[in-house]
Amino acid sequence: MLMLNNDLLNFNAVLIGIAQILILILIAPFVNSYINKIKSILRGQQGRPLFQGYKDIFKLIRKEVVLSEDASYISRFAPYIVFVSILVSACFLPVFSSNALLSFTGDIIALVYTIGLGTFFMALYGMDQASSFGGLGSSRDILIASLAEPTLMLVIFTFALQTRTTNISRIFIDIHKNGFLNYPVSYVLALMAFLIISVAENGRIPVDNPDTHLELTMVHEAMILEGSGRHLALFEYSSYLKLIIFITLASNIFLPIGVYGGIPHSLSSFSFLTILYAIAFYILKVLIFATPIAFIEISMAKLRFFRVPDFLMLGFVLSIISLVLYSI
Amino acid sequence: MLNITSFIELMGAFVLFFAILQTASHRVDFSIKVYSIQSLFLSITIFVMGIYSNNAELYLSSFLTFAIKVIAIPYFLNKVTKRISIREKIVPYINMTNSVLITGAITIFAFFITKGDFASHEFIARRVFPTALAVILIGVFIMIARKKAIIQIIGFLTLDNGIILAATSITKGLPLVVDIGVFFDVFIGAIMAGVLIYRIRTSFDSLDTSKMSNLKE
Amino acid sequence: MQDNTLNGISILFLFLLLIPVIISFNPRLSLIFSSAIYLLLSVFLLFSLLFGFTKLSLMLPFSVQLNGLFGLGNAANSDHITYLTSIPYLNFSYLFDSLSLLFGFLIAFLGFIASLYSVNYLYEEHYKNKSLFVILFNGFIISMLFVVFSANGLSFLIFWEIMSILSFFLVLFEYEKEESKKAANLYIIMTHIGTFFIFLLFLYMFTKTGSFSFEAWKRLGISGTLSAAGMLTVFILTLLGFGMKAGIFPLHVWLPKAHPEAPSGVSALMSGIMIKTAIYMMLRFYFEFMKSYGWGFGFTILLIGAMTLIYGVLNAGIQDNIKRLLAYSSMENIGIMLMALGLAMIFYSQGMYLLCAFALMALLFHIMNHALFKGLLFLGSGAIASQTHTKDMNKLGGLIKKMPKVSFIFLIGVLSAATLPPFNGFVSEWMIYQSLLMASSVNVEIIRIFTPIFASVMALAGGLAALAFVKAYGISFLGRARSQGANNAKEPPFLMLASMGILAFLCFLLGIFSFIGLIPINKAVKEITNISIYKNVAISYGSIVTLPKYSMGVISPIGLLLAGIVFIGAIYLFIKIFGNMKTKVFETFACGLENKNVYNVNVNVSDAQLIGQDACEIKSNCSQYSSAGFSQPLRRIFSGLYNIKEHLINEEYKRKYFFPVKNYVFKAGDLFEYFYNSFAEKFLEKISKLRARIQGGVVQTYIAYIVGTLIILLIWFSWFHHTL
Repeated sequence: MLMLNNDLLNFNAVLIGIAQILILILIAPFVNSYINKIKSILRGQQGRPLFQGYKDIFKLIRKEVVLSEDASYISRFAPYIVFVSILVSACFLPVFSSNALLSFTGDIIALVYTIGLGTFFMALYGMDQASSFGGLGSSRDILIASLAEPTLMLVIFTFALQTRTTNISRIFIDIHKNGFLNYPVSYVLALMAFLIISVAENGRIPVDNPDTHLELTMVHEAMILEGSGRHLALFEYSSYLKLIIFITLASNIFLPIGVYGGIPHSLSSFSFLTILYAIAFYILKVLIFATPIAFIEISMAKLRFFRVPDFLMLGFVLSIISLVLYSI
Repeated sequence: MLNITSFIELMGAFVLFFAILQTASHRVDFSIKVYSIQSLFLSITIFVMGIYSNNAELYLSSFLTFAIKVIAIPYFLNKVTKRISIREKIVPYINMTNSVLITGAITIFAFFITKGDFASHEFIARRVFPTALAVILIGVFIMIARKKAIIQIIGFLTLDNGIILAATSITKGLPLVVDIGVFFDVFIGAIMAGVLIYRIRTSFDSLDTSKMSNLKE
Repeated sequence: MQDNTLNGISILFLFLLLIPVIISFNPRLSLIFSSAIYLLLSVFLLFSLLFGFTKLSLMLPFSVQLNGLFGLGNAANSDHITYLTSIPYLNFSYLFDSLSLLFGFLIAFLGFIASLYSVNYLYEEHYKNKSLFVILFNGFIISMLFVVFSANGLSFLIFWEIMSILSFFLVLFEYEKEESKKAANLYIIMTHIGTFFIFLLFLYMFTKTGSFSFEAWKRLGISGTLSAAGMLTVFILTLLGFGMKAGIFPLHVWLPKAHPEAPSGVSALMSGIMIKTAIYMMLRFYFEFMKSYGWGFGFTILLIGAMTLIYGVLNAGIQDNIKRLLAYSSMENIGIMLMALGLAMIFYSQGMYLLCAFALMALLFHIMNHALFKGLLFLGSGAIASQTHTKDMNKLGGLIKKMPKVSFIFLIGVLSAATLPPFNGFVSEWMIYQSLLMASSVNVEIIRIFTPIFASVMALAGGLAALAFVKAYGISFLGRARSQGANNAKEPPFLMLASMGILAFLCFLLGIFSFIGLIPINKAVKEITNISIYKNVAISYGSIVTLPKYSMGVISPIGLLLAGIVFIGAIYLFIKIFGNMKTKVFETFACGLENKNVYNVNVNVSDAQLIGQDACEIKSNCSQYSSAGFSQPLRRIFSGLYNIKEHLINEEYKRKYFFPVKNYVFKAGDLFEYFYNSFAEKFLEKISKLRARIQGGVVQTYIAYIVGTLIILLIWFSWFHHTL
């Protein structure tokens, strides 16, 4: 506990923490565009440029908001709360160094629940405009989120049991030190379970298709169908950020290699170059983990909504096996 | 950190994962695809095992796995399904959610009973054998829990993959003659089954093996 | 102090407590007065809990008031006071330790809020027997206080019965309604079955100790002379007896029926604190009257808790009646509390007292939080029901514009109940998660394997609770009005708002500065385990930490909130500088259908009747998702766990081909109620057949019975005599 408090006072730690959150914010749209680009290339298309994500966000911010006349203050606040809840949970997350900006305010359970706050308000937003699409999207999205949650918690608990902590920084440090590979079967099954919930939580194929606006299949898009202008920009950005949070978690847990292990505690070993190297390595890892998502999206069809529980059940069982194999 | 034994175990774990995925499959073509990928991981496992135990015969075994199980059998099965236009959907006795749950229980059971010195004192065998046992049991389960003959074949092939994984992990490679014999057997078995499916289809208008109980009269 | 002075003070107190009843001819005045008394009492109890300096004076009203009736003398020690009566074994003795003071404080505080609320609520709902309500209501609160302060089995049973019967009358308050009658019948039957088991339990304890006093039972616990079989008996009887009141998994069926039928202030009390008196007694039994049991008991409680949790939340998700949704959510929270209790018992049985203290702290904190937010939500639902005259969410909607203040307060309650940060529900849930994680230190393999699975069950329940509360809030407050009642709703009067506002503020306060709630809880935990872990748990910056020796976890809700505020400011500035802050208001996209502003539309009555009375009354708002529609995916996925009657009635005689009129009927019953009913049906049938055979109506047979009985008695007596 004391160590964390000292870190709080460490100026470098704060600086690195801010750098981490900025990097997350900066590369989030890029990763999304990257996945789209790979999908396009695989389909034999040229695809949108890699920096389209940023342009979209800026375009949306400059447009005015058209709000439904049935909308209440929920619609006015929800986009901000959704975005901020994702952003705050991103602050709990160590990215390329072991010290997150707010590692003392939230652990991995808090991360899940803070993201849950965003999901909650997004669902309320969907129902605020008295549109039938919104209710449909809210109902489906929150159900998927709640069915994905136990798996997420099990995977988290697998790591937390290994390291006896729920502090994300410590989990990462421990995994980087000892490796998760002492239990390869556990590792593979946890990885797959994590993949399944990442797909489900982020509304990607085969659970949801982020590119479609067909009422039969929409989940996430249905909720924000009435969103426009800056509100839509915030929603889009928070979905980018959510994806990058999951990818960061996966890349640091399942690929524990690279420059990592926390910022140096003495100033003498604090090197700007090391940090740049760490950042570059982190981005590389993110791209490695983003690529399979594109492959899955291109090679699978969207599941029927009532098949989704089966899919999530698979993830749940995988995580249970993973955990039990770890425990026995 | 990533030494060769844990790499073997890792690949074996992927074989197990695809066996579990097999029980969650809703579609025939997806099942065949999963089988193919599973075999690919099996062949990698055998190959790495070859490096580990320095046994050249295992390289050949790995190559044979690749040629027959990753390419030939899936190709053949795909052809059969296309030819007799099997409906894509898998008809289960036990629904998907419960199948997956049972598979989970099977896996945990397999690991639980092999916890002690069940198989061998040898490191690799001790670490990979539970996985192989789980794959074998899952293969049997697929054969029990699915109605269509083609999926039962896939269950059988999964079982066979498990047996090969177990055999290689325990013995560090069977004698080459036995190996080739087994591969040939499986290949011929798959072709025979394919022909049989064709026959079942033409005489019963369905692949549902539960309808074969009509035969008893 | 002299006896005379004591009596004087106590008579004064007694008089204060009786004033609301005496002036019940003016319900408004009486309720205002009683709320003032309960506020005073709760402050008093809190202070005596925190500082202990008023203990002696506090004891008086509870003991001396009965002096005149039964009192024969007293035997008081530090926190214990006893009055003997002329009836054997029946002493009215009272116990004022930290645990009972904590519960007493919660009861008095919630009583204060509920009576404040009822001042206006009674008139909003236009109840007929307002004076009767006041009497029953005050009696209910006072009986709960006596229950938690009782220190004698028999007197406890008396107050427990009074509490049950008064709450039964309150459930039956709107006795004209068929629903109320059914619910109240079920409640009184089940609660008496529970009382029967409690009575057995107390008798068993009596056979072991020869006394009904809790002190003797506590001595039994300390001596540890209770055999394993004896402990199992006690465990099962407590589970059946108190579990019935708490609404644990298979015994819960009365809870979701009875709680919604009572007037809202009473529902808040019943859900908020009455069901927890059972947990209080479980604490007494498992941590004071029993000792050195195995981990099996704790594990059983954990398992039952998980089942209660998941069953409650699954059923909460599909309810259309907003108060029934809340009642099922109470069941879910009882599940969470039982899980914490089970963990504490496991730690206790393994001798890990530090962890036990942590789990107990989580448990008591969740009890406190649940009392606050569930009280708030029930009061809020009462505000909705009194304004719209319906509890059916399919007839609500759009209330956020009609009652913005209620909507904001209710939102806070909903967020707390969905255990989301930065509100209080999250903090206690987080502590329970941490206790589950720490259970991996227990040296039992089954527990190590199962606790993460329990954590995942809790996570699933958390998600589904969010679903239920999104539904509750979204359907009733957002969108457009689905009926005229909802369309004509207005903001409720001030005192209703104020009472809810206090609770909402506390939900927020305890979410941010959780240590405020943990200070009194620490006292109660110390009472049970003799360990004060407050310093280990709550540190500066308002953060909560786990026990570093066993596991590491820190949250700081303040930091979370501050970070959120900073980020919101930053984003707002960013958009202000680089973006566009304009907002245009326009109508919702409705796929090209006519989408008029409903508030000016005159509903065509004949049309509304054609659609069916139960269906949406305002036709142009029917395209919104309904409450039943929202939970349809849930119903379908977990269809095996529900007892649902769903029909699509095709009323063909009205319009056959062109826009056929269809009526959708949906009824969500409790699966276990169905089981019990069908079981009872078969059982009764068999019994009555047997009875018909025995009572054949032939006189000779009856004589034969008498002779037979006589012979059996003679044989038994002779045998009994010989063995003696």
